[in-house]
Amino acid sequence: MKFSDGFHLRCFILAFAGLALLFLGCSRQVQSASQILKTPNWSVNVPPNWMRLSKPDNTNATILSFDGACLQYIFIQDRRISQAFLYTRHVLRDGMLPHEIADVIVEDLRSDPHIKHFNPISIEPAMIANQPGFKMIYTYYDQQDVKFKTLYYGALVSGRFFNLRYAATLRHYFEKDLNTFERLFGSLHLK
Amino acid sequence: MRRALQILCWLFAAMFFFQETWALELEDNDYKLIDQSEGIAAGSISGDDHNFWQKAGQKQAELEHQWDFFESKDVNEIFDHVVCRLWKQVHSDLPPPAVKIIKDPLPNAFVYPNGACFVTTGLLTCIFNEDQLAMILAHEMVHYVQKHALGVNGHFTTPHISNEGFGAGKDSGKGKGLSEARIDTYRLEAEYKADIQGLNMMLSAGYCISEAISLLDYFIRLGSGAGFEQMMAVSLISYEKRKENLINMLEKQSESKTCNDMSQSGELFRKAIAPVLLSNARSALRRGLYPLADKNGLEYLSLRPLDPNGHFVLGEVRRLSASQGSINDALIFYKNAIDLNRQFAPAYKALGIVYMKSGQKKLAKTYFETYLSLEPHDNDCEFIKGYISLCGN
Repeated sequence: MKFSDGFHLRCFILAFAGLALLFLGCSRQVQSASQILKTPNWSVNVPPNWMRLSKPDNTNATILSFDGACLQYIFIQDRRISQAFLYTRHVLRDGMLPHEIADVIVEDLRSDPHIKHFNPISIEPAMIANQPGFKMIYTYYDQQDVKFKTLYYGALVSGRFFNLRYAATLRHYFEKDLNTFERLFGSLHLK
Repeated sequence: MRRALQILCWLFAAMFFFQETWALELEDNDYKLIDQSEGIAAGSISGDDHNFWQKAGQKQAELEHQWDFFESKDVNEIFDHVVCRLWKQVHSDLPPPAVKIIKDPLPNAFVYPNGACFVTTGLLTCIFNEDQLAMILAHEMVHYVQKHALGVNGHFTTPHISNEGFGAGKDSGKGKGLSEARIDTYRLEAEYKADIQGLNMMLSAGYCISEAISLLDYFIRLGSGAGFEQMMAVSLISYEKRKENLINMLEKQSESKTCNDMSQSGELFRKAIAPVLLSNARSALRRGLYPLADKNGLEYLSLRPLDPNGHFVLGEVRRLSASQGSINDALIFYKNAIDLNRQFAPAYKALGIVYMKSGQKKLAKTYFETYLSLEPHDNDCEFIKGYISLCGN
């Protein structure tokens, strides 16, 4: 590029910078996550440089990712007990025991037509921020035949079903950020 | 200076480009594992038949890995018998279809281009005699022999045919693009042919074709029943229209055959497929389809009253649907199961759960401990140990 004088050059730089800032601002669904993520019902310490993606729907879910949700993500959800599941007719109820809740979640995942070769590896009792719940590890293939592994924690808390999961491609990404997720899980505070 | 400016401009451009790309990736729904895939027949636009067969084979292999199949020697014998009797009416070099039963509570049947035919346990529980089974299999056989899936694959070049008179169901070509409308039209035609030619096959094989109409009546009633309205797989041609088409065909038959009294053969058929009823009840329970699980479970129990599995399934239906009255009934069914088989571990676990939730911890602990003694390595044993510790001494 050649500019005939300094005035035109300055105009060009300013215009370009303005356009760049404009388009950067358009990616409003991607935000740098603040260090402590707080909601009325829970809070966690977000790992440095992880981005937050909030879906504008009724899932009450927050999604965090470092490398992109196609590679790894942390999914935090706080749903009403009465909220129906997508792929089964099960409904959660107050007083359900942790293994019963796990059974419902497993069946919903198993019935999800977007998940292929769902394979529960382990389901065991776990405390989720001092609430009795369950911990589940499973693998599956997505629609692009990429194998994912998920670590899923869930518990009933004051009339809600809280769940926190870490999912990543089995190759490389799952192990890479597992400790990061465990630190986030350790910082979880339920209200 | 100019060089530095050029680099700066490119840096800005790169930052803009990659930011937008990454944002696009994050906007993509892949993280939710969405992107419904098109069916092989509707999605394939290649005129290359070989490629189509390969894709169909791949899709079928994927399917076989993902689904649970129901296996029973007695039920397989029934299928083999019906397939054999129908296939004798087919003049084709193709091998006879191989039928497998999928554990799925939703009624459905479909065939792949290579003759692999699948029927769900949900559909089998809707069938009351061998003639109705023959109707389902004959319909799928026509699709297979006439290579309808291949026809859909290559149908972009055929002229548009009006779908009036075929009684298009909910998914007719209305509102769709021209290509999709052509495929839908062809599929409607294929369904119509499969019904009519399937009936001819049944007639030649000596089956009672009026049973086909009884089956469609049943599907119509099922589709309008409370709790079942979403159960039915969508039929391209509405069940009412299909019934009308079949009645018209029957009226045109020059030979009319009176069917023998179907009641006795129907009873024998239902007894033979009793294991399918139990399997479907379990599948329905897993999906939270309690009315269906109850229906199948009750029928299974009437056929095999001494099997603790039937009592247990009915107990689970009542426990999981969780009204107080039903909890009391659940206790009765669980205890029936234990009376029939003292080693029936799942009933002990279920009783432990019921008593724990009702605050009867001592009783709950007894049942949980019995359960663990019978099934020390069950998947839920760590949970049960935790519940025992909560029950105290």
